[in-house]
Amino acid sequence: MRYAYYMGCVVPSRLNQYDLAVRNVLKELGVELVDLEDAGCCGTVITRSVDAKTNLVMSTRILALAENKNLNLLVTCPGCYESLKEAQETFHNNTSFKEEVNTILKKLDGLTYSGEVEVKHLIHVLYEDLGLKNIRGKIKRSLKGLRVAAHYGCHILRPSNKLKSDNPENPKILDELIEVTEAKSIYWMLKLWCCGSPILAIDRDLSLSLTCAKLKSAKDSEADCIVVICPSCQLQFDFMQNEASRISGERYDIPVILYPQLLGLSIGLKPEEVGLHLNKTGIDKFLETLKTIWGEEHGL
Amino acid sequence: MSVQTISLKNIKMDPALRSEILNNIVSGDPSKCVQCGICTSGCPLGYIIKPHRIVKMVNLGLVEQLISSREIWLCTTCFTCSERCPQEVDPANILFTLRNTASKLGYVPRELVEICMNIVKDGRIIKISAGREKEREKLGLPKAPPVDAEKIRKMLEEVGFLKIIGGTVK
Repeated sequence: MRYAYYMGCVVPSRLNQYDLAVRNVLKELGVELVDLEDAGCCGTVITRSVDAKTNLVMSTRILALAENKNLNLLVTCPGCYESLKEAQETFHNNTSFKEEVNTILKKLDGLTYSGEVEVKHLIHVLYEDLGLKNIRGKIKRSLKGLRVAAHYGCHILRPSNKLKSDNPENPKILDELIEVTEAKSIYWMLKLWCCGSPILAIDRDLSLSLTCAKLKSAKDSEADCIVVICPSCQLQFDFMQNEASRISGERYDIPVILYPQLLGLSIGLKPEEVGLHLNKTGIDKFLETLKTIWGEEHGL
Repeated sequence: MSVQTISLKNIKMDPALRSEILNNIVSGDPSKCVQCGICTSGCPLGYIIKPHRIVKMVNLGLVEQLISSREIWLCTTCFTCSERCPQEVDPANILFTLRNTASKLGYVPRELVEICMNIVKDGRIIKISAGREKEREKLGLPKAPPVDAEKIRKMLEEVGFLKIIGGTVK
């Protein structure tokens, strides 16, 4: 299994632990990654807010670069995922866009995109291409007893008519990927809400009010940690948690773990091999919880 | 909380701007809206943004108030409104169209312009710092894939983005 690996902007500039965990976990699972070079930004909702076509052109260029390598695309950021899927859909349904974008790509990179690339987020590669059964066979350390609040992030689910990723009102992929480690994916009221990240730069207080609401909901449901699959959501819940606490006057102290970090620990990788030391909130507490679950043989 | 809601004082209808917005909507149809409010009830910021009200204002041609408002920039783009709309109005997409029209008329919030300028300058939303590269080395990760920022800038110029955002072309 081989994919073009596009890590987007946020991971290499802020979250090297996501990259590390993905590479180490997929190596264990026999997936080969080919770094997509010279890709740059996908445009995401940032450029779409200013000019929708710009976003589509930027994303189609990423698709063309992957097609040039004859590989399907693996992304770790739902923002990129949504943006690339939107571009793919427009490319297939809009002939004038198809011509326009190919004229630009030809001039820029000498490329012509034919529309053949499949875009997958990490969770789709794990769930659909590798499969739960395969992953279950690799689990070395059960996380039985760990209470996990799964946070999907908006752009992995919606708009579902374009993404066709999972049920937008009752998704299951991430929950099942969590439960394959025997951890419990708990019910929490605000599970499907936005983390607030997209408006952080526009209105910090309003953005963090959403973060506070989500953190409180996870805490009220007695989560041991929140598990995320989006770099921006990770930054919001983990790096911004202190500031969110200051605003609401409530201490949350909830560890926020990237899904490949959780899976990595469960298939036997060491905390430093999934970059756990680079997470900010409650990591000591999280490691204590793991020691309790794993008992004398914890090996941490 | 620095939220400024739209004032309905000095109402000004603008049929030409309304037509421009309706022509630029690529998905959904505001004229199908029955004002049921499902969009607003599902919106995490529904007490401020009120998508059903925005759609009504578009239908009435009250677009100038909308595109000059802060409100349209507060949408988190979670798409819950569009997901749940029983009439396929696609309010989230209408909001993007409003933002695009606002951008063309020079109403992009300063904060967003700054992020866009990062892309113009570095080809990425956030530049990879020297410290972050060092961290990668320490973790045994390969160097972050290089980006030809000049090429990205050329693409942004070609597609007309630089003109909208007011970036200076070398």
